[in-house]
Amino acid sequence: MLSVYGVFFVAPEDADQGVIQKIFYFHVAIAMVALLAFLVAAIEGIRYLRDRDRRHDEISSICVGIGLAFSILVVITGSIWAKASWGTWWVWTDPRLVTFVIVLLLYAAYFVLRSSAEGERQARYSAIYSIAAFASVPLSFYSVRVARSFVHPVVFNSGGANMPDSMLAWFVVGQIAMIGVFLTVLQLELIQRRADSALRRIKARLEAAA
Amino acid sequence: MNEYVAAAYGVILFALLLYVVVVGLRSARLAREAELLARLVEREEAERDEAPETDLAAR
Amino acid sequence: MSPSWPRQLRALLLKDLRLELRTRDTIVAMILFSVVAMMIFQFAVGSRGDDLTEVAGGILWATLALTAVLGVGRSWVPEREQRVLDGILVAPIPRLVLLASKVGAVYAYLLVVEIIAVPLTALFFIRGGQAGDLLLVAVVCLLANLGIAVLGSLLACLALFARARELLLPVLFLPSLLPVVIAAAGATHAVAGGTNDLAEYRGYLLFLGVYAVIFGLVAYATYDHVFDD
Repeated sequence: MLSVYGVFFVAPEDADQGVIQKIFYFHVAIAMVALLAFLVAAIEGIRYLRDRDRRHDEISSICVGIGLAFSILVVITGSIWAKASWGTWWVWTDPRLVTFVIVLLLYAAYFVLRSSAEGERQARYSAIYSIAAFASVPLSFYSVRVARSFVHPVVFNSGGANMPDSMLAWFVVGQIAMIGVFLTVLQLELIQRRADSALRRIKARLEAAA
Repeated sequence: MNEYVAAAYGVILFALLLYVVVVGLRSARLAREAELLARLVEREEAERDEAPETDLAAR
Repeated sequence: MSPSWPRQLRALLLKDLRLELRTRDTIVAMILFSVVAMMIFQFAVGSRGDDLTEVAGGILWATLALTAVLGVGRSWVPEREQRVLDGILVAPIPRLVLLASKVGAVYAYLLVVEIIAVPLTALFFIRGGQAGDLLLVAVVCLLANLGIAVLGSLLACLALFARARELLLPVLFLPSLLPVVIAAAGATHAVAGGTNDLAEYRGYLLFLGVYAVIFGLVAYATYDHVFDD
């Protein structure tokens, strides 16, 4: 399974030469995957609350971590895009950019919450917050959009939704590649955590027996 | 324009690289601990093997 | 829920409010804090004597958001002290009723603060406003408070047992409050200080309503898990 995902690592390097616009669809792909990660985190949160299986909490927290890392990338690449497209490093009127700033704060708080509790409560509170935070995401997005729509009545065209088919194909490839990265990282993290936990259990046994 | 493109790519690649380094460090630590534990178990087995032999020798 | 839940809700709510009225700790602190916060804004951005009418709505809601974070943390304190949240309920109160009573209490506190803060904002920051605007702003308050109270009460529970409680709650609560601040400030701005863009106003009000509904649903879906079993 891992090898299949590994292939996707290579795909992003295959960049077509073309309009800067198209290349920055990476930014969009990363953004989409970040949101996907947060969605999975929320779903796993719900599942944890349903059956209290710690594995859901594990996946949920890893996904929030991945989502957070990807969100940082979104903000950085978004800022670069802003500089390239509009000449300033930052704009407060792009709902996507602002939403991801809010998302950064939202999910950084998730980890602060996690470190404040232990054991069962940690998992329970994290699950609840992962759901509430995910609800905040569309609300944040629309609040900025609504606010901006009163100033600029023209509907904002987020970088041109009309792509020629050749570009669209690359965009889809890039998107799938990003999802592949997400899944790969998720797997890697799970493996590492399980290994760490297993080693720790062995250590505890040995120390108890000695 | 191309510097910006390069910058964006660079950021993403850098992030990926960073993560690979983190994974590397983590697995190095895991390997070290596993090695330590393996040696611990082997040493204890060796001690356990010695102990009944010395008992027999004493009798 | 038992058929008598409206009565229980009212009883609980009245108990909380009566307790608060007796000591007035939280309310007074919230009011004072909101005034001080407004002063901070004034001195931070208005020392040169600029006309702050444009940002008055923003100042108001930034202040209210911060004040709400304070108030929401305080509303669970009596329960925490009686260890109600540990699942040891003295009387069999449905958990939803308990949560609802907290939401109601916070809502009431916020209203009291707003009764003071809104006119003060108008006085300090708005030039050329009309008294009628206050009514429109009042509607914004009524609607925004709902979402704030619901989400705040839920999150305050999560922060209750943390060591860095005073910092955890703001960190948890404020990012989720940002949409409310955007919308409420926008709505206030639309009708305060001479401008009267009712279409904009209604748009923001709609958003505030949606916000309250969504977090109401989230709270309704997760409230049970907040309490230890």
